[in-house]
Amino acid sequence: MADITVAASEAAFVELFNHVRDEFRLAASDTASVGPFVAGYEVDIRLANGSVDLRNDNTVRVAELDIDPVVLRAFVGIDIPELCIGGFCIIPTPFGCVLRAPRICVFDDNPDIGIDLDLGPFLRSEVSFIASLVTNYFVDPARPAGMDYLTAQDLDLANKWQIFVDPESVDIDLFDFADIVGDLLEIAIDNAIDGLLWFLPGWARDLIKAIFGPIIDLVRAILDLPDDIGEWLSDLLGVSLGLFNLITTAVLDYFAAQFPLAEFEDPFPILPASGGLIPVKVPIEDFDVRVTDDEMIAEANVG
Amino acid sequence: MRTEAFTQIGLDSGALGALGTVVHRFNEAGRYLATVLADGREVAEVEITVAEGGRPAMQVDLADAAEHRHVDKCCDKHEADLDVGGYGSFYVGSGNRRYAVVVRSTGKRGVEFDSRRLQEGDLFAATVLRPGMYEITNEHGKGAMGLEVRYVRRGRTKYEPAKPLKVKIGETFAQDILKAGPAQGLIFEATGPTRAIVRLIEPDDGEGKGYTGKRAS
Repeated sequence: MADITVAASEAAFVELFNHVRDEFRLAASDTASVGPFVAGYEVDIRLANGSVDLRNDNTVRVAELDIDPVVLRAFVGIDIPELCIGGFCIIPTPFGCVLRAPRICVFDDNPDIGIDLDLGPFLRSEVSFIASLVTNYFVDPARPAGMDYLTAQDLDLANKWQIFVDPESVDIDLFDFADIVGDLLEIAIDNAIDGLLWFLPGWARDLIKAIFGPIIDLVRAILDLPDDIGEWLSDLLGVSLGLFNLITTAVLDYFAAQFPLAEFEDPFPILPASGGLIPVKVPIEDFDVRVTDDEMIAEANVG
Repeated sequence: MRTEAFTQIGLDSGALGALGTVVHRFNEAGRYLATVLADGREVAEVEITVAEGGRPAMQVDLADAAEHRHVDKCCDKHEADLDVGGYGSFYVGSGNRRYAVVVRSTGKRGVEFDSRRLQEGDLFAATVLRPGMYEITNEHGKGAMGLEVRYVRRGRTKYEPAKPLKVKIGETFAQDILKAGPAQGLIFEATGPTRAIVRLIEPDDGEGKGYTGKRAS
């Protein structure tokens, strides 16, 4: 039988978990060539909501943690296709056109335009996982060898027993973008082309855009878009640019090794320093943790 | 980007810019010398050989000739530039200068072709981009004709200019007004001495509804 037993109810466990969840943050960016265009992202993601269930098989089920993007920008760089006017037939014959008017190509050097989309408000995605609780003995790397435990305590460099939530695997839902992203993409392309043609008068810009046709058709042709732009974006960000893997790895690493659910100083303080006496502390050994379906139990022996 | 296509608003067969082409049919074999004028000054000469077996048409970039660059008038194995009865066309490939061309036969006196004074059968092909109301006049004739180029905006379907409009122009005009879409070709066929001038008299800046998807007529 253990010398020390500490238990936290499921409600208390949820409070501990929520604190860990609220501290999660993933900030990253990446760019890559994806077929005929360049795409990238910039993300700043937090986690929110979700449900926690303690299970009597010594695991914890965390479900429907919302991926809450503070920032989710996607950008795509594309080449505007050549746009030519003229070229009509001046001398037609029954055997074909003998002479054509010269063609004047407006974009003969394939200029690049960049489309920048703020997708944060339109993303719905969730993370779920089943985890075990694991313990870890933490020695602060900043603590010099030979430092005594009292000094370490004063400098907040004490050794600690930690409890982590260790996900066995993370299940991330596909990014589900609201339908409005199609409109956003169209507006962004429109603005990008306006930017490209800024020095032309309005009638010339309108003419060029009329010849391009519906912008979304132009974009579809360049990017080879399917009907569902949200699905395309999800695939682009999640799979082609590896954002699913990045989030999965970040969540795994964060819960399993970065932010403990709880931690206990070793030696553990029993009485604070008082009246010129040093604090009373007891060393902790054989620290272990488990869950039942209604509480988390941590046990240890006094060394 | 070829910005001159959007800055050269008016067209003149005798002072060619980016959006105009003149065409002459060479009905007799022989050697010809085309004198290129830029902004009224002679700047280059181009030899043209017309003989049986030549190509049915050739294009001469007057801006290229003026800058003494390569004149791309031959692109296959024909020894002659042009077949007898073939069409020679003269256009401006780049720049903002205004060009004219005068072609003389080396073995005959007189002028075979002068873009400032087109003769019966010569053509002036023009592309008008800027929406608005234009007046078309013939410096060597009488009267005038209107040209209405409508405003277009991006619509549900891609805008494609309709087939070119063909108009006879000479002493008088056969029509009162033409209606066209921007970038739609206009082919003026001279029926007598002609210098066709297309002048913008009232721009349309799209304050009306404009075209948004139907095919140009």
